[in-house]
Amino acid sequence: MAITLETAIAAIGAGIAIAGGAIGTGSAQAAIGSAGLGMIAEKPESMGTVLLFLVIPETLLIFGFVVAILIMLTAGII
Amino acid sequence: MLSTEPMQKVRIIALDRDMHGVVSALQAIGIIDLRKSRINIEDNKPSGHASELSELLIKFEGALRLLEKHEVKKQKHMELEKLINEARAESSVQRVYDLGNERQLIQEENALLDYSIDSSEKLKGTGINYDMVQSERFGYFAFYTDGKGYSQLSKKLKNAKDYSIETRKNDKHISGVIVYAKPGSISDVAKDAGVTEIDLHSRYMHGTAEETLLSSRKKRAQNDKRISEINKELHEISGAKYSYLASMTEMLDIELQKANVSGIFKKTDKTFLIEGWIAKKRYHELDRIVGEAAKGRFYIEHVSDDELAPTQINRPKFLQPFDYLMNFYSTPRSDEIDPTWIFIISFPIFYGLMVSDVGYGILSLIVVSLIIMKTDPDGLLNNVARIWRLTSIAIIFFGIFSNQYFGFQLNQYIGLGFLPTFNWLKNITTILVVTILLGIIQVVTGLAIGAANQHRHGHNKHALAKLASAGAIVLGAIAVSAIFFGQFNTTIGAATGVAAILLILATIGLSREEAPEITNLITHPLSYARIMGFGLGSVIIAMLIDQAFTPNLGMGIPLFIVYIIIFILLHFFNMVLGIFEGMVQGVRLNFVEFFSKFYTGGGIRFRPFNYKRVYTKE
Repeated sequence: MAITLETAIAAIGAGIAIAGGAIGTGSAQAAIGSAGLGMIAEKPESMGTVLLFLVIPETLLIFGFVVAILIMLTAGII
Repeated sequence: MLSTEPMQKVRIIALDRDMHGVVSALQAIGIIDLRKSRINIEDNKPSGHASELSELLIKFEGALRLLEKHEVKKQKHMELEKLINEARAESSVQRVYDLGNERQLIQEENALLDYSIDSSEKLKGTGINYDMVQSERFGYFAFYTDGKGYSQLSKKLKNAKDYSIETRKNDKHISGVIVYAKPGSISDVAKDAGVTEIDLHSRYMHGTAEETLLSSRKKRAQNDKRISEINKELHEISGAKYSYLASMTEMLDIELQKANVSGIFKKTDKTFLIEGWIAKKRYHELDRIVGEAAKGRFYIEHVSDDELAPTQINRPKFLQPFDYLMNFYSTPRSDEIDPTWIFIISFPIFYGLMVSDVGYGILSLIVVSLIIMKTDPDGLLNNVARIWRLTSIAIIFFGIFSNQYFGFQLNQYIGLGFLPTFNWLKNITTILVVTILLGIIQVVTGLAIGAANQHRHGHNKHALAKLASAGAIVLGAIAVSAIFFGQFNTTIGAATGVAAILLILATIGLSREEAPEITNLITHPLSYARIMGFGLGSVIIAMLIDQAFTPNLGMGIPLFIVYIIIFILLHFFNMVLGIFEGMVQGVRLNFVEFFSKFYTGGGIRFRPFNYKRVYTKE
């Protein structure tokens, strides 16, 4: 496949979309994770609740992923 | 199907003299969850036998723990008075206690004897006399260490004065005794060198090390003999009495439960009053059983108050792990729709789609079967594994339809080539749309259930707001597919777009509680795209493993073996990642995106007053 300037820019855009979502998710999970581990140390039975809260910010990454897919579809990369 | 068992609160009034019979009958039938009545009359006191039963039960349980387990022949339950008298008169319980105590004391003594034997073995030949270590003029420090520790000690002692050291070396270590003039102390210097101190004041250390060895070994042998005798006697008692004592213990426990529960009853001069919740459909059974126990001298009435009924769920046993997971989150309230069935159906679909590989499905079936066998049946891991086992079937199902067998496409080779399949890499757009559609369906269902719940509680405006939100999602989805993806004509797109906006405004206008949820109308259905994200990720990793590490005999036997090991390990790792992520994300989509539309939770689980008999019969 010949790489044009437009496809390259679109690919970079898709990468930024994923990276932005991943950074957002990571920073949110870092805060929730450290607080959650403190909670588990005090109340081991709260493991399920903590796990649930921990995965909530992953939505940000999913949005980044959806945007990346849409960019790549529009640019004909996939 | 979507509601919990309808419950009814009842009040039973009967004569005092029938109390024991009625309580026994209620315990035996096990259909009532007893509560303390709010009626303003005198509280009944727990039965006078409670403290005695409790004392006897502790003794019997303690004795049983000391005995070897034997098969138990079920005994018929005794009358209370007879039970107490027989339990009091049972001499074997005291004998077992005494033997147990004696054995424990001997074991404690043995620990001290072992220490004195071990220490004296190390200090043999150093000339130590344990009786002399209490001197006012000299201090004693005994130790053992390795060669390195001893050279450290020698260095540290270089500058010390007024001391002598006697050492003995064997294969394992160097041991010794340092005698130093008081008031100086050498122990800190020696400890600093990292040697291990030997306590010279232990109870059984007397005379020289050699003398202590002799006397301690002799005492140890006597103790071992006595422990053998005790074990033999306990073994004989176990054989003769275990069955009887186990039955007696269970009877005492049953009677104690009855004695204690009477503390939550109310009473008048000659009657007592019990309140509790039962399933509506079992009311007549309760009426009949209490009638028989009270010989017709009783009265039952329905109670209407604002107390929340407990939640009773009757689900087939193989689906009960889902209830466990639901309770882990929050028990459904008895006055709301139970969403567990929707969870049971949707979770395997999400999970199966995310992992979708026949190989991983079969492998996870094997792994979780092992987990189920090895873990506590009531524990979290066991229950989760039972869900994994059920959902492994979904992984296999979706694996067949995505033609994935450890990343290979094998349908055509096993006679399934005729099946329509989807390809994770070629059908990305379709899968993305399908997953978001799944999200729209589930979120709209959640909103519809939420509307029904609100309507049930008389909050009609809030119910309408939820319906308006559901409409906005459906019309919004049509508008997006018309305007951005050309699925419908522009007029339909514009009309549905405007209608969706109007419904959003209606939602805000109708309910203050629902207004902050508006952004979730877009984000929650989109969140289901994670199914595609994780599914695609899992498939791509499997394909990469196949591409890089598929072994073939052309590479030579040693490399072939190495490749096979890496191939299996990486696929196992990908499977574990897939089942863990699939579980967490599948649960999350239900608990966060779906339940947040309607679920209150916080219900009280139905706990009937009963006793599961194991060693006795009615």
